[in-house]
Amino acid sequence: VRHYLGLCTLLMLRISLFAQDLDPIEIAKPLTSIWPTYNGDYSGRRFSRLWQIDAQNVTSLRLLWTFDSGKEPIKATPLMVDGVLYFCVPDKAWAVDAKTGRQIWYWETKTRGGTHIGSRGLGMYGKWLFLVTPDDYLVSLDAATGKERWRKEIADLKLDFFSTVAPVVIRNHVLVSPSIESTDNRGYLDSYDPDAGKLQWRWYSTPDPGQPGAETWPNAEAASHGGGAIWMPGTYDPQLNLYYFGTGNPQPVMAGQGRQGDNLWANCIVALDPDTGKMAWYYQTTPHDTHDWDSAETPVLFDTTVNGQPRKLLAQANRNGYFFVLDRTNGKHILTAPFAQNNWAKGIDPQGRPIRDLSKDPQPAGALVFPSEAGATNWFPPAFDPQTGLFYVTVTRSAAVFYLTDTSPKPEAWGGIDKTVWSGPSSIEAINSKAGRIAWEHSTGQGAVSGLLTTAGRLLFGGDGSGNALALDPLTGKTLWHVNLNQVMFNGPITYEINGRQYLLLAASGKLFAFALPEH
Amino acid sequence: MTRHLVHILGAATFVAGCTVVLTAQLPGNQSQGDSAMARKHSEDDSLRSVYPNLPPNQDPDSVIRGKRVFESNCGFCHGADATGGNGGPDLVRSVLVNHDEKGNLIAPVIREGRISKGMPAFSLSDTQVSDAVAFLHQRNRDARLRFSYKIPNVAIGNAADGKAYFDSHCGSCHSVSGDLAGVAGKYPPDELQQRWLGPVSQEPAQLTITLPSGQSYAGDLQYVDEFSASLYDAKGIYHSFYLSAEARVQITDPLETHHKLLRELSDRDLHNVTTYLETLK
Repeated sequence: VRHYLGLCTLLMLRISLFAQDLDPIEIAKPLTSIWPTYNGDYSGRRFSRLWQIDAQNVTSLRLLWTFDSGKEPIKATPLMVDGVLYFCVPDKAWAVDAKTGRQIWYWETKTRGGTHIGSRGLGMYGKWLFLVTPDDYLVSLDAATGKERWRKEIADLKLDFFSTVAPVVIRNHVLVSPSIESTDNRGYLDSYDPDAGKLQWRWYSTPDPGQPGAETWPNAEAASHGGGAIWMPGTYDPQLNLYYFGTGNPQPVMAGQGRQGDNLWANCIVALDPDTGKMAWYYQTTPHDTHDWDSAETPVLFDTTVNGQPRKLLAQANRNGYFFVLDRTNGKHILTAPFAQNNWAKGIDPQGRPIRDLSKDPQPAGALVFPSEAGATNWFPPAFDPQTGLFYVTVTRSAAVFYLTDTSPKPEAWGGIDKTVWSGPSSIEAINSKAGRIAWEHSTGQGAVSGLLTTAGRLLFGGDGSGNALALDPLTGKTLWHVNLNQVMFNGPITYEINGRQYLLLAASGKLFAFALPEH
Repeated sequence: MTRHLVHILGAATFVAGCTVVLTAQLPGNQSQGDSAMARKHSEDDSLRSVYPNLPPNQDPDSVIRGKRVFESNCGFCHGADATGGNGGPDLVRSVLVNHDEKGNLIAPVIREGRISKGMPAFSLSDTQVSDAVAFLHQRNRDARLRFSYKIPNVAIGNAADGKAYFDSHCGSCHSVSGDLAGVAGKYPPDELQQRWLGPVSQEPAQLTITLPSGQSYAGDLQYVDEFSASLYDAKGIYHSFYLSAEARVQITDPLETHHKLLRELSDRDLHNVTTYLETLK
């Protein structure tokens, strides 16, 4: 028996040593059997062409296995390449057999600090994996063994930078960026070479003195500490060779009196060339933000016709409560539509940007604002279904009193605080991507923070605030299937295919759950 | 910024709970001072488990002395509160200050100056230097730690207008001589404002379920989602239900009126009502 087990291990080793390999060109293909990057493919649609599980048979789904990774909620979207799942939580990563749920390897690192709020996942290039740690390392692992290849420091931990993003691999570029909690830093996006981790370029989210955009800050000092952290993995158009991502709020967060102006390129959707790090265009979704709205949500790429003309578009459901559609070739504005109640803006300007109601900026005695700092949506990945033309997003509802606590001419860090006075029901909304109208809305109770997945099987997967996983009809929002996982989903569901069988993989709290149809 | 408000608040709650436990476990013969010190340390440790890079609290006396040292020697160029001034950079967000450990980087700059950048050398005593360092680190900590920010005066409205609003909108459920008598004496003003805007109900929500058969159950809501619900009936017996499409579910939330008022509340009314409630000492 001993001998036999040894042989098995040897065979597994052989397979794992030689099979797990990802050519970055695979990420550019429409999503089918594998899930090789955070959003599945570069488009950010989280639409899979798999259709074995469909609206008719979804109620026959059965649980195949679970995998318990511990108490830390899984906020990462797992990768699935050549039969192996890769996922992480802060300071830890796993490779798990995607068919059986058995652990292949486990990696852990001792942290030296950094805010531990989550880890979005890994990136893959060839036989190598990449992830960031809360204490600001970009770490490369050998995908076969989980052995660490190298680590590079990507940010200054003592300035309170910490890292959560899932690396995105484009050709030989590994794109990562640190997050900012409170210290007045300047955000940036880095590109590292996958072989040795050499920095290829760095793009800062605020302008240097004299650069276009510098006029949107009162002085160079404010701009050079002006925030704009890049929290989330972006999307990519291989034809245009443009990488799209959102930047976070300006610093100081809630006290804007020391940074009068629009504060570019904080709260922007940005397009840049991944080979050079040069910005092609930007579009600002919240000028001079004082509510922590960010613009970090996934810019989703899709093609359609507008007034008879074929167009390459980009859509984002923004934390500020507005749905934006842009021409992704040049950043020209096409549509702005509210998708959730707000009272902080009093309209839309000619460029489609919300106009701040100044009385709803944080005030010393408080201003009642819908929604709270948590926003109308947040990190939860949205989805787009080319079959319905609908954009799907988990929407949260809340109200808070925003206080300005630092009234000095030169505030620091937050300079204010918001106190939640109401937490309302969440929902999954379907937004018509051409008109911005809400096609349907499915209530998911309080506290739903799930990402979404659509499939060619005419299914939309997500989760509610009570620990149920849901399969909805993407056209109507009607529930077709549900299962009580008893824990809230913190990430986006994925689907993949191995040997002709389609799997649905959900994560709730610290557990993975794999479903498939019965084999006949 | 913080993408996980719920997470952070959850952590903050944990911090509070943790403090209580630690304090309760202290041996009874310890002096009040030791207990307070232990409590303070445990709070700080817990905060630093959420924000591991938060600079530690400095000795308060040293900070007070350091503020004076800083104002008189450094304030002209760096600003009295160290946020930058007449030519000197902001030291709250300074890389050097953030990297400093107990003066190892700051002290040489004070003593030797930065002549090329126009900063002269200062001959301060060791205590003066370490006090100035403590002041800078405390400034940095206080700026980072938003949950410790002090909310200034919230009672800026008109009490008479607040009373009029209260009488017309709140008076049917609340009374200033009954449940709200002396309420201003119970809470600091900002907490009073938070409590009336976002109250926590003492009463459970009421759930009524009418099944397709026509049979109906009512009681304290225990759980409800899209697919199932449960309640405790008047006898304290637990019932749970699968919810079919035909089942009718009715929920009476005791805070529904509050939520409705909140959706229509102007900031002017908000300030007026708080100002009025502040008169109920």
